Amino acid sequence: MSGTRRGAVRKIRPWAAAVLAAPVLAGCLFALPVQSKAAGNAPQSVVERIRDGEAAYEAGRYEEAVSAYRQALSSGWHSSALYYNLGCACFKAGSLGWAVAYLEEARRLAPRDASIRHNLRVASSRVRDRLPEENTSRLLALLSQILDGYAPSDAIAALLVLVWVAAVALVMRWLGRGLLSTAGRWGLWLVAALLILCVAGILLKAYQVSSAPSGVIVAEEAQVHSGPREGETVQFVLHAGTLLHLGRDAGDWREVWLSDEMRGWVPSSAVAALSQPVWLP
Amino acid sequence: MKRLERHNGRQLVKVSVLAICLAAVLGCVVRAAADDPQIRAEVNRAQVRVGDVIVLSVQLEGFSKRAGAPNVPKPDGFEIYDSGRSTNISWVNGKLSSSTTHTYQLVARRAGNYTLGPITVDDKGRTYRADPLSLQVVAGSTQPAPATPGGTRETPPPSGQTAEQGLFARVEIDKREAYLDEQVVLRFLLYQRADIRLHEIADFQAPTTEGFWREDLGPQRDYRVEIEGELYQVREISWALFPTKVGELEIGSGSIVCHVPERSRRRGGFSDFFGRGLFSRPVPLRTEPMRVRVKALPDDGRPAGFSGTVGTYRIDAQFDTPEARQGDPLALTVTVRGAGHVQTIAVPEWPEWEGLRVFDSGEAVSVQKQDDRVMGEKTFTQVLIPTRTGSIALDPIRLSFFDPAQKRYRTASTGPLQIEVLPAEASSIGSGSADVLAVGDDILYIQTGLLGNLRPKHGGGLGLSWLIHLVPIGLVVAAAWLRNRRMVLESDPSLARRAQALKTARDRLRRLGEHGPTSSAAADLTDVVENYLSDWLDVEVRGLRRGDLENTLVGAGVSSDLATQVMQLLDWSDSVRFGVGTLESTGERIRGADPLLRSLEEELRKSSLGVRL
Repeated sequence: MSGTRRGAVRKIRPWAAAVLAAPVLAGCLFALPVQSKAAGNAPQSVVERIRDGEAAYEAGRYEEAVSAYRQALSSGWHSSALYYNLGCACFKAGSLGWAVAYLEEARRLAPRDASIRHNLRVASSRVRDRLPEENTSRLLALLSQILDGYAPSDAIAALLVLVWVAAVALVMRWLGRGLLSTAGRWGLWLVAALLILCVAGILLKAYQVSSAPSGVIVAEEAQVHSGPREGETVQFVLHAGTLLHLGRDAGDWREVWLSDEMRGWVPSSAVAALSQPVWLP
Repeated sequence: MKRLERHNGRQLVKVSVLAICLAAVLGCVVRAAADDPQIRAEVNRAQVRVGDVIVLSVQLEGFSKRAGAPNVPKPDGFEIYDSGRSTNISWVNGKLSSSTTHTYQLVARRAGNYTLGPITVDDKGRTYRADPLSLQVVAGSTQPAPATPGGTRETPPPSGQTAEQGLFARVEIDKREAYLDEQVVLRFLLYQRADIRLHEIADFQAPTTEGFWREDLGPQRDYRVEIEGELYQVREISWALFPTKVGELEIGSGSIVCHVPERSRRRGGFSDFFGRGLFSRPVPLRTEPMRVRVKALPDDGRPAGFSGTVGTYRIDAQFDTPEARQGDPLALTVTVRGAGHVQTIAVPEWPEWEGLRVFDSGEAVSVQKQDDRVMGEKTFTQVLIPTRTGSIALDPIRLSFFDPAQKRYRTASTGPLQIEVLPAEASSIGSGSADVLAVGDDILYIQTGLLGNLRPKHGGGLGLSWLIHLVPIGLVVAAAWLRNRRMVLESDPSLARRAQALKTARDRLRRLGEHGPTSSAAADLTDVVENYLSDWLDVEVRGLRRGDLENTLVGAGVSSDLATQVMQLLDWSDSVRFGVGTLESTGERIRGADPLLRSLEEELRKSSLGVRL
């Protein structure tokens, strides 16, 4: 043992943690906007159709506005505002069913937009069919209200942000010393709790999305038959704007249902299918 | 000490997190409790004599329209009768609130202490309970048992009913013809001859009254009548019926089962023990259906403002303040009182509201039953905001109704209404307390400038840009590697020194080279080499003889040639230090030391076992 050197140990300096954490933090701030901007710019033709729609709406030519907005939508580009404007134009033009369909699309993309919620409420209040209220507990009603407040893409975006924050906290915990390491540890606990909530929110949202209505009656009146044929028994009648679930196709007919007891077939032209939810931010 | 501090810190964090979670849960519970429907039950008196009536009121507040009627468990020793319900609806500060009060009459039949309840109501899958009530019935009836209001009276013999065994039932109505919505009194009567005893009365089915709105008219009434010289005990239940459609309406059969005692033929044994062997025989009784002809209201004399109200009413109106200020709200309360189907009293004819902005604030209904008549009042409240100053006179408010007793239309009206409107106070302009009320409901305008958030419908989400989200994974891996390396170095200081030995030595050699050959250069060169060897070999080389050092190097895996070169370098340094050698080759020696050390590093690394940096 004699002669064993006792020299200074080279340590990883605390500033190394900051150097590593800095790009992580920067990425946390800019990653999602960069990624979302990567969607690209819409073609000029789409822009022109949208401007045409705005001009027609302002002039009170609602049918023309509907046509212009639909052309913009058919080009493959969409946004919550485009669906909202199209829904407003349909409402003013007297197409309650399509108004509810497009406003519902807008709400699914931007669930917290107050204008969309307001207009959807107004349009829904004009729907003739009043569906029986379900008996739900106060807790489930509160949970449903929370789930309605964010879109699936919001949940995924939150998850990505938490991943970045978790990386920062881990770097601080492992490489930092003293206060930096302690902050990293607390951050990890916080991120863990938020991750649990985030994952639960994603799972619940997935369940809500899977059980949400997938279609809207767009015809003024739709007779629901027991089978996909004109001569089949009419079981009940639905009216424009009623939200319902869509099932199989059979030629020009579509299976629909409101509940286990209220199922049947309507002409495919009487219903419009709502888009699948967008999960990626 | 540090461990203790860390432990206390962890405990503090755990307790804080637990406290926050508990506070959140408590907040949710309190909020949920504050919004829960409320049920309250109370009686007008808790101590009565046998035969007295206790009025039970069950108030429901905040329940949905589909909430069921209260479930009132009948205490043994009481008879319970539904006395109807009243609803109070109010609109205050733009918020609608309603409460419904169900009234019951409990007739005490037996002395004792009783517990009433808990009374429950089911709504939206939940059951709500009111606190139980304690009742005490003392002996000594206030009236001869059973209660006999009106005492004995003469009555015609029953028609269409069998009087066999002195027990029968019948229904009576006070009129066979009625106008639409005119009150008809329906009575169900059970006759029991004085010498007949009953064990039990059960399975009462009230007559069906389809096409009528039905209201209970109070508890059962008991009295005596004389029929063909024989005394009968009569039990009577009555309802007020209001026809809701024109034509022939049928009042269906009612039924009841009376259990009459019957002696057993066998004597002795258990029958003797329970007292002369008494059993009961059920006697079902049924009433005949009846028909009521409902007439439409006459067209002759129908006022222009008639809205379907039938009954006998008067109308009053008053402001909540004798004078008002321009822009400040005031309330006008119009009350319609009288007898009839109070629930369906129509909205009065409002006058021209010149000089006033009007907002409908809601209605409230209160119903009572007295002397087999349904009566009550309905209140209409209007919120008025004067738009000008001065005296504002309003035409009388009218209510047209059909009086079935007089068989003609009548119009009740208030007197002229007048209010003085003062100018608004300078400081009060814009600071009035009137709520902003919605007067229309339409969609909002479209959004413009919506080009910023356009995106492709399909396939635009996942692209190369998503690779950026691999960065945190890579950084975590890098941080883990660095952390592991630090732990290894901290756990083995010799390893850390070894890792830095060559870099440290080369830095010093570079500085030596910059300064050129000096008298201390040789000593410094020796120091560099010896420090390097000490870091690698983990022994203090300065204390070793050169021969031992060479052997140690060879033992550590260095080749003999390389070890010899190292020894030669050190020997030269020693010679210069001790004044034997010269400084002429110092620069060359210094320059040659760097590759020598690198060669040493390479050979020592190769020969080292199980140590990775």
